[in-house]
Amino acid sequence: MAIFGDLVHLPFIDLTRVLAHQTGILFLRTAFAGRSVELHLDCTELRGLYLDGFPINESSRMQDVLHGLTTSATGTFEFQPTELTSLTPHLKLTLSELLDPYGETAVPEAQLPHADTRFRSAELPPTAPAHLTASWQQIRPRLEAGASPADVAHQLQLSELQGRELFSRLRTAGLIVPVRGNMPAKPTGRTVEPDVQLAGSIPDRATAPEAGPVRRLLNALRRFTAVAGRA
Amino acid sequence: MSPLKLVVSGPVGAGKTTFVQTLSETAVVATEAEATEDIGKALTTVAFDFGTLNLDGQELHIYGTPGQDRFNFMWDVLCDGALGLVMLVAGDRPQDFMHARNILEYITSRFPIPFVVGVTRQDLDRVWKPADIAAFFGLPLSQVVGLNAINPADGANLLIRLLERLPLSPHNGAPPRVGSTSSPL
Repeated sequence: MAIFGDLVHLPFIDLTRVLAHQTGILFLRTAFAGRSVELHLDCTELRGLYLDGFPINESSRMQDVLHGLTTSATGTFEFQPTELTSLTPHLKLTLSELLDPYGETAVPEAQLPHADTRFRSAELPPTAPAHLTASWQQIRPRLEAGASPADVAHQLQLSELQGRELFSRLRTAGLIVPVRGNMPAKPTGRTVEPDVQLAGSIPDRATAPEAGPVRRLLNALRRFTAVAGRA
Repeated sequence: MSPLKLVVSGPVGAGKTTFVQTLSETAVVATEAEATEDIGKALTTVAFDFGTLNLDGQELHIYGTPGQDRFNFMWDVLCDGALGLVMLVAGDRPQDFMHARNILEYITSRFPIPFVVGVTRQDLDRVWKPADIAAFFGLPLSQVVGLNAINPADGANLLIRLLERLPLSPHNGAPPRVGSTSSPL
């Protein structure tokens, strides 16, 4: 397993969402004014915060560091999964709540959603953070059928860039999700399982029931992968 | 039997051209040109890669899109009428993940197109795993597959995962674009 990169490409808040189901230590080499930071994470909980190897316990100092990480333009990171039991964690705080105040952090234009990508309200949106409450009340009704940053920017007389920035913040806050045009995911295999045949047991094409094009492709691919697996 | 159309997309360097070459039974038609900016390689796809696969008499046309945003009009052109989308992202290039997610969401919010995400370069030691990419994209793990783009069996497994998401009706129609009637192909 390897989770690594640079905050210039993967903002800290997005990174913490990736790590929301993992336990271990996030090492950030130079992300806080050139200093190293360690976050000991137990899924969504922050269990320890270290600056240059020294634990940070004071709330205001902790907020300083987290603010620095969310606004840092650069800084490599690497996550190492590990049990925290032997690492004397000294905190028990919900990381997402600590980061809520920093949702206004500017995101580079290249990382913003495309102006024409359509979003809708999340199924169970959380309470909007204070800095987004007014915008959220204004935009939410417009998202029922899905709307893009360009649509909303036009309606609210914002620039397209402002619309994209706003959608980026709403997304980071978990209030909106992209519209997926495709059907909901089916449990893979379940629907087609009765027709699954391993190589060697595929009926002769002449005697096989008439199959749709997708089933034909599936059967052929499964034969191929079964043969490749034996090779 | 009408050929079916598969689109392979993703950022520059994700392995799209390699993936099409790996799956195609015919020589791949590639529209590569010298890169005019630093994208980490000399040549890049500017229109599309095209390969074909014939399985049990069913022809599959495979189109690889350009990876650069400046050619993003080709995403619309190629996805119109496609059976499905394979979004590739190189697991050792976290600098491309946000771009890949933006491409995927741009396409799938506009086309009702089934898709899977393929995380390439799984043969490397230092590489993001499919589960972590799934968390980043906000997708179920069943929709994200690790692969080595030069391995035909990996390519076939990825296609299986995609096809399993499709209804198995005799006629798998091409999905219309949301809010548009244009059909350039």
